[in-house]
Amino acid sequence: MARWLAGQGFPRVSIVEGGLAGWRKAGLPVERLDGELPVASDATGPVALGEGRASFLSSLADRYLVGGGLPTRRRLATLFVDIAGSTRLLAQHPPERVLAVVQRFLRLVTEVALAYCGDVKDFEGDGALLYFESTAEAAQAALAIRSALAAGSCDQQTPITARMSLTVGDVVLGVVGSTMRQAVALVGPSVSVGARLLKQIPPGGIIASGEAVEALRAEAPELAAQWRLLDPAHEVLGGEGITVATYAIS
Amino acid sequence: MVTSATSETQRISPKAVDAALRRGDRLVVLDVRRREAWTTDPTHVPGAIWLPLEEVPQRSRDLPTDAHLIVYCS
Repeated sequence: MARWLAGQGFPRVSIVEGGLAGWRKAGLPVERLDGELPVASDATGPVALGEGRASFLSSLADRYLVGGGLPTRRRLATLFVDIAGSTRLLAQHPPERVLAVVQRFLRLVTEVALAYCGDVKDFEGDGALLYFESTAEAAQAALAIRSALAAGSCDQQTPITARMSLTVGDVVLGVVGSTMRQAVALVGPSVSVGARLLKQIPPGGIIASGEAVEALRAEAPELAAQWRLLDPAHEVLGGEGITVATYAIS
Repeated sequence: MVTSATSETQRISPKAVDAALRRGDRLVVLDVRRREAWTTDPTHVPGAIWLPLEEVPQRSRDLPTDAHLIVYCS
Protein backbone atom coordinates (compact mmCIF):
# COMPACT_ATOMS: atom_id res chain seq x y z
CA MET A 1 0.00 0.00 0.00
CA ALA A 2 2.78 2.41 0.92
CA ARG A 3 4.53 1.64 -2.34
CA TRP A 4 1.34 2.21 -4.27
CA LEU A 5 0.93 5.62 -2.64
CA ALA A 6 4.53 6.45 -3.50
CA GLY A 7 3.77 5.45 -7.06
CA GLN A 8 0.89 7.90 -7.11
CA GLY A 9 3.27 10.79 -6.49
CA PHE A 10 3.26 11.14 -2.73
CA PRO A 11 6.86 12.12 -2.08
CA ARG A 12 7.34 10.55 1.32
CA VAL A 13 5.56 7.45 2.51
CA SER A 14 6.56 5.26 5.45
CA ILE A 15 5.27 2.06 6.99
CA VAL A 16 5.02 1.71 10.75
CA GLU A 17 7.14 -1.26 11.82
CA GLY A 18 4.87 -3.98 13.16
CA GLY A 19 1.71 -2.06 12.42
CA LEU A 20 -0.75 -1.38 15.20
CA ALA A 21 0.57 -4.38 17.12
CA GLY A 22 4.06 -2.88 16.96
CA TRP A 23 2.72 0.41 18.21
CA ARG A 24 1.23 -1.30 21.24
CA LYS A 25 4.33 -3.39 21.77
CA ALA A 26 6.35 -0.18 21.97
CA GLY A 27 4.18 0.84 24.91
CA LEU A 28 2.54 3.72 23.07
CA PRO A 29 -1.08 4.67 23.73
CA VAL A 30 -3.97 3.93 21.40
CA GLU A 31 -7.35 5.54 21.19
CA ARG A 32 -10.57 3.61 21.13
CA LEU A 33 -13.35 4.66 18.87
CA ASP A 34 -16.78 3.24 19.59
CA GLY A 35 -18.80 5.55 17.41
CA GLU A 36 -18.19 7.07 14.04
CA LEU A 37 -14.97 6.31 12.26
CA PRO A 38 -12.51 9.12 11.52
CA VAL A 39 -13.20 8.79 7.83
CA ALA A 40 -16.73 7.80 6.95
CA SER A 41 -17.09 5.37 4.13
CA ASP A 42 -19.97 4.86 1.76
CA ALA A 43 -18.80 1.41 0.80
CA THR A 44 -20.66 -1.39 2.54
CA GLY A 45 -19.44 -4.39 0.62
CA PRO A 46 -16.57 -5.56 -1.49
CA VAL A 47 -15.32 -3.16 -4.11
CA ALA A 48 -16.37 -4.30 -7.54
CA LEU A 49 -13.63 -4.91 -10.03
CA GLY A 50 -13.74 -1.59 -11.78
CA GLU A 51 -11.33 0.83 -13.30
CA GLY A 52 -9.89 2.00 -10.02
CA ARG A 53 -9.20 -1.49 -8.73
CA ALA A 54 -7.67 -2.64 -11.99
CA SER A 55 -5.37 0.35 -11.97
CA PHE A 56 -4.35 -0.38 -8.41
CA LEU A 57 -3.34 -3.94 -9.14
CA SER A 58 -1.46 -3.29 -12.35
CA SER A 59 0.52 -0.36 -10.99
CA LEU A 60 2.33 -2.59 -8.52
CA ALA A 61 3.63 -4.79 -11.29
CA ASP A 62 4.44 -1.78 -13.41
CA ARG A 63 6.57 -0.35 -10.66
CA TYR A 64 8.62 -3.52 -10.50
CA LEU A 65 9.27 -3.39 -14.18
CA VAL A 66 10.13 0.28 -14.56
CA GLY A 67 11.57 1.05 -11.14
CA GLY A 68 15.11 0.19 -12.10
CA GLY A 69 15.78 -1.29 -8.70
CA LEU A 70 15.95 -4.88 -9.85
CA PRO A 71 17.45 -7.32 -9.31
CA THR A 72 17.43 -6.87 -5.59
CA ARG A 73 18.16 -9.29 -2.78
CA ARG A 74 15.83 -9.15 0.19
CA ARG A 75 14.95 -11.22 3.20
CA LEU A 76 11.28 -11.94 2.70
CA ALA A 77 8.62 -14.15 4.15
CA THR A 78 6.66 -16.03 1.53
CA LEU A 79 3.22 -17.52 1.96
CA PHE A 80 1.88 -19.98 -0.58
CA VAL A 81 -1.89 -20.32 -0.51
CA ASP A 82 -4.15 -22.53 -2.54
CA ILE A 83 -7.59 -24.08 -2.42
CA ALA A 84 -7.58 -27.61 -1.07
CA GLY A 85 -9.54 -30.06 -3.17
CA SER A 86 -10.00 -27.95 -6.26
CA THR A 87 -10.01 -31.07 -8.43
CA ARG A 88 -13.02 -32.28 -6.48
CA LEU A 89 -14.70 -28.93 -7.00
CA LEU A 90 -14.23 -29.28 -10.74
CA ALA A 91 -15.72 -32.75 -10.64
CA GLN A 92 -18.80 -31.53 -8.79
CA HIS A 93 -19.46 -28.15 -10.38
CA PRO A 94 -19.33 -26.58 -13.83
CA PRO A 95 -16.12 -24.67 -14.58
CA GLU A 96 -17.96 -21.33 -14.47
CA ARG A 97 -19.01 -22.02 -10.91
CA VAL A 98 -15.49 -23.05 -9.92
CA LEU A 99 -14.07 -19.95 -11.55
CA ALA A 100 -16.41 -17.80 -9.47
CA VAL A 101 -15.19 -19.56 -6.33
CA VAL A 102 -11.56 -19.08 -7.31
CA GLN A 103 -12.18 -15.41 -8.10
CA ARG A 104 -13.69 -14.78 -4.68
CA PHE A 105 -10.97 -16.76 -2.97
CA LEU A 106 -8.15 -14.90 -4.68
CA ARG A 107 -9.79 -11.55 -4.04
CA LEU A 108 -9.95 -12.41 -0.37
CA VAL A 109 -6.32 -13.58 -0.36
CA THR A 110 -5.18 -10.43 -2.15
CA GLU A 111 -7.00 -8.07 0.16
CA VAL A 112 -5.71 -9.84 3.25
CA ALA A 113 -2.14 -9.78 1.91
CA LEU A 114 -2.30 -6.06 1.26
CA ALA A 115 -3.99 -5.39 4.58
CA TYR A 116 -1.07 -7.05 6.33
CA CYS A 117 1.52 -5.00 4.44
CA GLY A 118 2.27 -7.83 2.07
CA ASP A 119 1.85 -8.26 -1.62
CA VAL A 120 0.89 -10.81 -4.24
CA LYS A 121 3.74 -12.12 -6.28
CA ASP A 122 1.82 -14.49 -8.52
CA PHE A 123 -1.55 -16.01 -9.06
CA GLU A 124 -1.28 -19.59 -10.21
CA GLY A 125 -4.42 -21.57 -10.87
CA ASP A 126 -6.40 -21.59 -7.66
CA GLY A 127 -3.58 -20.27 -5.53
CA ALA A 128 -1.25 -17.38 -4.94
CA LEU A 129 2.23 -16.62 -3.75
CA LEU A 130 2.26 -13.81 -1.22
CA TYR A 131 5.32 -12.12 0.21
CA PHE A 132 6.01 -9.92 3.18
CA GLU A 133 8.92 -8.10 4.76
CA SER A 134 7.66 -9.17 8.16
CA THR A 135 7.23 -12.84 9.04
CA ALA A 136 4.75 -11.88 11.76
CA GLU A 137 2.59 -10.06 9.23
CA ALA A 138 2.76 -13.09 6.94
CA ALA A 139 1.66 -15.38 9.77
CA GLN A 140 -1.13 -12.99 10.74
CA ALA A 141 -2.28 -12.91 7.14
CA ALA A 142 -2.38 -16.71 7.05
CA LEU A 143 -4.54 -16.79 10.15
CA ALA A 144 -6.79 -14.06 8.76
CA ILE A 145 -7.30 -16.01 5.55
CA ARG A 146 -8.13 -19.16 7.47
CA SER A 147 -10.57 -17.29 9.74
CA ALA A 148 -12.27 -15.62 6.81
CA LEU A 149 -12.72 -18.94 5.04
CA ALA A 150 -14.04 -20.57 8.19
CA ALA A 151 -16.56 -17.76 8.52
CA GLY A 152 -17.75 -18.41 5.00
CA SER A 153 -16.82 -14.95 3.84
CA CYS A 154 -15.42 -16.32 0.61
CA ASP A 155 -18.28 -18.43 -0.65
CA GLN A 156 -21.09 -19.70 1.57
CA GLN A 157 -22.63 -21.88 -1.12
CA THR A 158 -19.40 -23.71 -1.83
CA PRO A 159 -17.36 -23.86 1.36
CA ILE A 160 -13.68 -24.23 0.72
CA THR A 161 -10.55 -24.70 2.75
CA ALA A 162 -7.06 -23.61 1.92
CA ARG A 163 -3.59 -24.93 2.47
CA MET A 164 -0.78 -22.55 3.29
CA SER A 165 2.97 -22.77 3.70
CA LEU A 166 5.07 -20.09 5.34
CA THR A 167 8.80 -19.79 4.82
CA VAL A 168 11.36 -17.02 5.14
CA GLY A 169 14.78 -16.46 3.67
CA ASP A 170 16.92 -14.44 1.32
CA VAL A 171 15.37 -14.13 -2.11
CA VAL A 172 16.31 -12.27 -5.25
CA LEU A 173 13.74 -10.37 -7.27
CA GLY A 174 14.43 -9.76 -10.92
CA VAL A 175 12.75 -9.28 -14.25
CA VAL A 176 12.22 -12.32 -16.46
CA GLY A 177 10.81 -12.70 -19.94
CA SER A 178 11.39 -10.62 -23.03
CA THR A 179 10.43 -7.11 -23.98
CA MET A 180 7.16 -8.55 -25.26
CA ARG A 181 6.19 -10.16 -21.97
CA GLN A 182 7.83 -9.41 -18.66
CA ALA A 183 7.25 -10.38 -15.09
CA VAL A 184 9.14 -10.26 -11.85
CA ALA A 185 10.57 -13.53 -10.58
CA LEU A 186 11.20 -14.21 -6.93
CA VAL A 187 13.97 -16.75 -6.52
CA GLY A 188 15.40 -18.31 -3.40
CA PRO A 189 15.61 -21.60 -1.54
CA SER A 190 12.86 -20.59 0.87
CA VAL A 191 10.47 -20.00 -2.03
CA SER A 192 11.18 -23.41 -3.49
CA VAL A 193 10.80 -25.10 -0.11
CA GLY A 194 7.52 -23.28 0.50
CA ALA A 195 6.10 -24.44 -2.82
CA ARG A 196 7.01 -28.03 -2.03
CA LEU A 197 5.76 -27.96 1.55
CA LEU A 198 2.39 -26.75 0.31
CA LYS A 199 1.86 -30.06 -1.45
CA GLN A 200 2.51 -32.07 1.68
CA ILE A 201 -0.08 -30.72 4.08
CA PRO A 202 -3.73 -31.65 4.64
CA PRO A 203 -6.65 -29.36 3.73
CA GLY A 204 -6.95 -26.48 6.13
CA GLY A 205 -3.37 -26.87 7.29
CA ILE A 206 -0.81 -24.14 7.70
CA ILE A 207 2.78 -25.28 7.76
CA ALA A 208 5.89 -23.23 8.46
CA SER A 209 9.58 -23.86 8.16
CA GLY A 210 11.74 -23.81 11.25
CA GLU A 211 13.41 -20.63 10.02
CA ALA A 212 10.03 -18.92 9.77
CA VAL A 213 9.12 -19.90 13.31
CA GLU A 214 12.53 -18.71 14.50
CA ALA A 215 11.84 -15.36 12.85
CA LEU A 216 8.46 -15.27 14.57
CA ARG A 217 10.08 -15.89 17.94
CA ALA A 218 12.10 -12.73 17.42
CA GLU A 219 9.26 -10.65 15.98
CA ALA A 220 6.18 -11.88 17.78
CA PRO A 221 6.86 -14.48 20.51
CA GLU A 222 3.17 -14.83 21.33
CA LEU A 223 2.49 -15.76 17.74
CA ALA A 224 5.45 -18.14 17.59
CA ALA A 225 4.13 -19.95 20.65
CA GLN A 226 1.07 -21.08 18.68
CA TRP A 227 3.16 -23.28 16.39
CA ARG A 228 3.97 -26.87 17.27
CA LEU A 229 6.84 -28.87 15.90
CA LEU A 230 5.79 -31.42 13.31
CA ASP A 231 9.11 -32.80 12.19
CA PRO A 232 12.60 -31.64 13.19
CA ALA A 233 14.07 -32.87 9.92
CA HIS A 234 11.38 -33.03 7.29
CA GLU A 235 12.65 -34.19 3.93
CA VAL A 236 11.43 -31.75 1.31
CA LEU A 237 9.58 -33.57 -1.44
CA GLY A 238 11.77 -33.56 -4.53
CA GLY A 239 14.33 -31.54 -2.64
CA GLU A 240 17.18 -33.99 -3.25
CA GLY A 241 17.87 -34.59 0.39
CA ILE A 242 17.08 -31.09 1.68
CA THR A 243 15.54 -31.23 5.14
CA VAL A 244 13.86 -28.49 7.14
CA ALA A 245 12.15 -28.40 10.47
CA THR A 246 8.41 -28.03 10.01
CA TYR A 247 5.76 -26.58 12.29
CA ALA A 248 1.97 -26.43 12.16
CA ILE A 249 -0.32 -23.96 13.81
CA SER A 250 -3.22 -25.16 15.88
CA MET B 1 6.70 -6.57 0.17
CA VAL B 2 9.76 -4.81 -1.15
CA THR B 3 8.88 -1.27 -0.33
CA SER B 4 12.19 -0.31 1.14
CA ALA B 5 13.92 -1.57 -1.99
CA THR B 6 12.42 1.28 -4.00
CA SER B 7 13.73 4.19 -1.87
CA GLU B 8 10.38 6.00 -2.01
CA THR B 9 9.12 4.16 1.02
CA GLN B 10 10.74 3.07 4.23
CA ARG B 11 9.97 1.42 7.51
CA ILE B 12 9.65 3.70 10.50
CA SER B 13 9.58 2.67 14.13
CA PRO B 14 6.52 3.41 16.27
CA LYS B 15 8.71 5.48 18.60
CA ALA B 16 9.87 7.63 15.69
CA VAL B 17 6.28 8.22 14.62
CA ASP B 18 5.31 9.14 18.16
CA ALA B 19 8.21 11.56 18.38
CA ALA B 20 7.27 13.17 15.06
CA LEU B 21 3.68 13.57 16.19
CA ARG B 22 4.82 15.18 19.43
CA ARG B 23 7.06 17.57 17.50
CA GLY B 24 4.14 18.56 15.35
CA ASP B 25 5.75 17.40 12.11
CA ARG B 26 3.54 17.65 9.06
CA LEU B 27 2.47 14.08 8.67
CA VAL B 28 -0.66 12.08 8.13
CA VAL B 29 -1.05 8.73 9.85
CA LEU B 30 -3.20 6.36 7.84
CA ASP B 31 -4.82 3.26 9.29
CA VAL B 32 -5.40 1.08 6.23
CA ARG B 33 -6.87 -1.91 8.02
CA ARG B 34 -9.80 -3.53 6.36
CA ARG B 35 -13.28 -3.01 7.71
CA GLU B 36 -13.32 -6.45 9.37
CA ALA B 37 -10.08 -5.72 11.20
CA TRP B 38 -11.38 -2.39 12.42
CA THR B 39 -14.57 -4.01 13.65
CA THR B 40 -12.57 -6.56 15.60
CA ASP B 41 -10.26 -3.97 17.07
CA PRO B 42 -11.66 -0.43 17.06
CA THR B 43 -8.50 1.10 18.49
CA HIS B 44 -6.10 3.22 16.52
CA VAL B 45 -3.01 5.33 16.73
CA PRO B 46 -4.05 8.70 18.16
CA GLY B 47 -4.75 11.09 15.34
CA ALA B 48 -4.78 8.42 12.66
CA ILE B 49 -7.19 8.56 9.77
CA TRP B 50 -8.93 5.34 8.87
CA LEU B 51 -8.73 4.71 5.18
CA PRO B 52 -9.70 1.09 4.50
CA LEU B 53 -7.31 -0.53 2.14
CA GLU B 54 -9.99 -1.26 -0.42
CA GLU B 55 -10.85 2.43 -0.63
CA VAL B 56 -7.36 3.85 -0.90
CA PRO B 57 -7.26 3.92 -4.71
CA GLN B 58 -10.46 5.94 -4.86
CA ARG B 59 -9.71 8.23 -1.92
CA SER B 60 -6.00 8.87 -2.26
CA ARG B 61 -6.70 12.08 -4.16
CA ASP B 62 -8.00 13.54 -0.90
CA LEU B 63 -4.65 13.12 0.84
CA PRO B 64 -2.24 16.07 1.07
CA THR B 65 0.62 15.70 -1.35
CA ASP B 66 3.08 17.68 0.74
CA ALA B 67 2.79 15.70 3.95
CA HIS B 68 4.72 12.68 5.14
CA LEU B 69 2.29 9.77 4.92
CA ILE B 70 2.67 7.17 7.65
CA VAL B 71 0.83 3.95 6.90
CA TYR B 72 0.08 1.12 9.25
CA CYS B 73 -1.89 -2.07 9.04
CA SER B 74 -2.82 -4.72 11.55
